[in-house]
Amino acid sequence: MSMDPVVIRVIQAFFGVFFCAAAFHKVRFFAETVGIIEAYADQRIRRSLAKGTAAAVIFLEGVIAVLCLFAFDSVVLAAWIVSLLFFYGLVMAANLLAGRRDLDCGCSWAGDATVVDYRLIVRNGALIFLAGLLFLGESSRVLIWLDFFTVGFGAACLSLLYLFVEQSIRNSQLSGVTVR
Amino acid sequence: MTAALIISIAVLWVLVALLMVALYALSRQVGLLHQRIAPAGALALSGGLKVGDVAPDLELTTLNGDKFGLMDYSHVSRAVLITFISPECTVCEQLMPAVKSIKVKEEKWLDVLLASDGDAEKHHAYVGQKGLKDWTYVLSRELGMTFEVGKLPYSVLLDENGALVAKGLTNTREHIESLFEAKDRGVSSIQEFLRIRQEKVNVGPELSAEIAINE
Repeated sequence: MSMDPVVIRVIQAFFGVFFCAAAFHKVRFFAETVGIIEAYADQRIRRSLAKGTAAAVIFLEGVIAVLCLFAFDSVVLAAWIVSLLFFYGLVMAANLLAGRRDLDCGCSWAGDATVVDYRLIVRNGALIFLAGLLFLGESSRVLIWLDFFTVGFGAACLSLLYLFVEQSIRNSQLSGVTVR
Repeated sequence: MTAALIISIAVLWVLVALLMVALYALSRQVGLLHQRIAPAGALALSGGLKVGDVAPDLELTTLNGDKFGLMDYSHVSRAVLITFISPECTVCEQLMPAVKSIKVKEEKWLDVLLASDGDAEKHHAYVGQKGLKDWTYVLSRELGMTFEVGKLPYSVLLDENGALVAKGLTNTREHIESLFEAKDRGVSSIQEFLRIRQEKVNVGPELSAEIAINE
């Protein structure tokens, strides 16, 4: 079973925007990103190692973003994306299980902090499912100009949907204080 | 036919994108509202016992003339909410249904004590009017002075050991519940909790860890 190429391109374009924004956010707030990595490691790693890890994550996300936007082989891309998202989810789950629930997830695009939460792991699961569709490969249909219109708007809508989900999780965290 | 199909697809995509923008903008607004109407905790006035101090074992007298020690009241692993009210205070009157509801809702872990001072006759009439005959209602100027109660309604939450957990002006149910929230979260007030959380967000995990250590 293979997917129509326009669906593959929409998913690739979305992940291109996704990792581009994530890498840009980490570069812009590099010191905070290093602090978040240290917090994820429960302050057990040296600052230089945290800086190196932050740089490696930014590089990896940047590379994936470029490859997504330039339509690299979708199966190889899917493997990279799934691995990275799975790793992020694993780190969040490990910290949550260890009782560290007030960490900034480091996954926000817009500057507002989102605290690690099991719902973020579910969100990562949904993203992994989306990336997993790339494993199916694409059919041989030739794309026409109208398909690129679909790719642009589809990726934009998926990005906005992602922002909406993240904002909803943040809203529920904000309202949690008043619930008794 | 093809042109109509292309135009309809284009229009539909634009509409879906606009809807997504509206949905995201709406969720941002909800987030802003949550931040602006952050829980208004009870306003803790300075003076009186500090959080963590054990309340003195005052001898208190109920309206019925029964005497008991404050420490005897807050025993057997139960916390005590002392709510200072007055028959002349209209806000206290508005608050009473909430206090009654809290007494029932939190009865597993909390005793509620009403406190006031002044003319006993007025208080007897008030207790009759408000159906508070089964409540522990004490008249004690000394109790008010111990907690330096300046404005009413004012509430004080003592833990199972008689130590002050939280206190403040409690004009609404939310204010009283903020005292319980402060107890649950191990802070002296919801304002303090919000300040710590804001600092965590602003300074990042590294400095917030330092703040936590200093506290």
